[in-house]
Amino acid sequence: MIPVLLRLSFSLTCIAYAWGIYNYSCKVFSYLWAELECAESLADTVESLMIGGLLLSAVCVWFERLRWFALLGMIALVIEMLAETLVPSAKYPYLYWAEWMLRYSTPVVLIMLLGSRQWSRRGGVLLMRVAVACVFAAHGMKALYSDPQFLDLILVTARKVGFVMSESAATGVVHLIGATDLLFAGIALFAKSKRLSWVLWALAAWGIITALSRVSYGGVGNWYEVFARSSHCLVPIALWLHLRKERK
Amino acid sequence: MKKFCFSVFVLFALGMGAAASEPLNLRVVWSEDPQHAAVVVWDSDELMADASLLYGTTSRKIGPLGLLKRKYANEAAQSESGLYPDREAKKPKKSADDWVSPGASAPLYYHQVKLENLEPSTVYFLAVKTENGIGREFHFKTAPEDGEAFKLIYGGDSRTHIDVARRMNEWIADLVVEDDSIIGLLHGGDYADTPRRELWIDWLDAYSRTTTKDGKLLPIIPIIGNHDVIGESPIFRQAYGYPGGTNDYYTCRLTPSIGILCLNTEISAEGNQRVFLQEELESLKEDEVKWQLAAFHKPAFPAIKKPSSAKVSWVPLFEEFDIDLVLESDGHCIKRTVPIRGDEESDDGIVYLGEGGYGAPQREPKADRWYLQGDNAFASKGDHVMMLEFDGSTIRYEAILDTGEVVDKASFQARR
Repeated sequence: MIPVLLRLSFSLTCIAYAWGIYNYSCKVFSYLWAELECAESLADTVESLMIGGLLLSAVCVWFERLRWFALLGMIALVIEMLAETLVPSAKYPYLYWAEWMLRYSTPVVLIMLLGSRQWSRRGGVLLMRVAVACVFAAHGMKALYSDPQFLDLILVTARKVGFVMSESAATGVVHLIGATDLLFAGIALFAKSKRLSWVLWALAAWGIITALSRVSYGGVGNWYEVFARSSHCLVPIALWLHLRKERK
Repeated sequence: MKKFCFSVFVLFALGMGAAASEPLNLRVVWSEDPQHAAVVVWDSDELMADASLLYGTTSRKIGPLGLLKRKYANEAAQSESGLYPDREAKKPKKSADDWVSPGASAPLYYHQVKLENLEPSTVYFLAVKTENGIGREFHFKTAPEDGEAFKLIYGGDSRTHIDVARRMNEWIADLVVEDDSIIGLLHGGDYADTPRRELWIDWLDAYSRTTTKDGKLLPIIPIIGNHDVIGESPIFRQAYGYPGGTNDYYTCRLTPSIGILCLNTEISAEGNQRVFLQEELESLKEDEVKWQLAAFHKPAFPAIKKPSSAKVSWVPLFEEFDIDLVLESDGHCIKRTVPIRGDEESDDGIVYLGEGGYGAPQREPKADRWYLQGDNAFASKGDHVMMLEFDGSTIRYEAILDTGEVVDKASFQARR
């Protein structure tokens, strides 16, 4: 079950990114073309290779023998994140590595968990815990910075359900969420394994709620934004399953 | 003779010394009320805290040679001055071979003067007065009287290729000389690659090339872009005299018949800004403003990237209040969408123009998007600006490459 959840998570992430890059381009293109002033055709080729790598990974991650190909998707995600930190308009360059950690680390976790050695499996579990903590801590920090996107997610969702909320009230809610995210991230990282269950379920629930908020905000056309965040829900569940199995 | 030569040398040397702290890049900024108010901003290598602005409706120069001078009617003190912020230096772009950064990493100061109680459609002459004397005379015309036909240039994204921005501004100065009906330039944001002093010096120097040889200034209506706010930099506000205060959004009532909603895509679109937008649209409706436009940086219907928060938060209001035209930037291409209403093509829909080609590298648009297809749409690329001619009940639009070639044109009839 754990490998299935991790595979599903990474596969959905890769499909989401491939679709997003195909339709809306990516930061790697922007960096190569606008900052390094590479030819548009070269940037286009790199973008196409990324899409190919992501789609290949989305499939290969399901097959035991082909699992190493999943690293292609991981590389694509890492270089996209790197470009995101390097473009001059990057708003939180130091947070992106943490914010996206579940998206790009999942294939490494999977390979480590499927390894035959104990240190490999332990390392996989530790990496999952660190990644879960980093993702929630980074989102918490962005919330405490009153990220306009987070404010709009809350305000638009509220408006759509007929609830009028002021920006100052939304800012208060976002700050509260940010502080809670940081607290949960700390617990996920430092609490003893047996006390982690409720936190992991809370994080999984919060992960799916925040992912689905992309649809409540922008409509079903934003499905790929939900897929891209599938790891925020599925990896905490996978970690919980693993810890439960260990206890048994 | 020796004494005379020495005196001339001393006077020349003093003159050179004064030139070092001459006002640079003097510009006129329009925001809420361009018929009656303007902000004049200039830069300098040294702080000119005591400098003021002399202005009036008659030129200081008398006679054809201008050797005799008269006094200006008004003098205005600075509302704010200070040092532009700096960040670590960055190497210039490799494509700009002739990239010369005047005073790169050197301090640069801004000086703002607010002019109020101006008369519409009136030429104002102005000059900076310093302890060294009165500087070069410039002039600009306030926004036209209601009913006058005029042209407004729209451009966006001048970052990265400063050599292109310089060339385009010199070309715009030629257009201003040729066509007296051009009143100003609306800029869709992203003036420089990052809000660093040495890059903004280049942009402000490049924009000063829109000033004609006889000193005619082209007022700018500035909109904020994502590259202007990195690290919450105040440089946009300092360089343009706080258009929109500290929110960076405002309504430019160009004339009583024309309202341009200048919005900010870099903050929450849904919060206070949406409240402001709704109130302003209601006010424009109540005042029966004929032409209602919106302009902002990140597009709601982009030709390349994904839609910004404007699509969810502002487009429904644009449609509810039937605004006439939307101007966007950020994508670095040329686009004119089909008329859009309810996320589909509609005869009574709103057209979105964009997306910036005023010095930023140009990119191939994704012309297969539904709103860029058919005879009612256009998508291409090239260094360009857009000319909007307001003439009674018609806006005539042209997308003009820097070669002077018109690549797209259309006209829009007033809804009101």
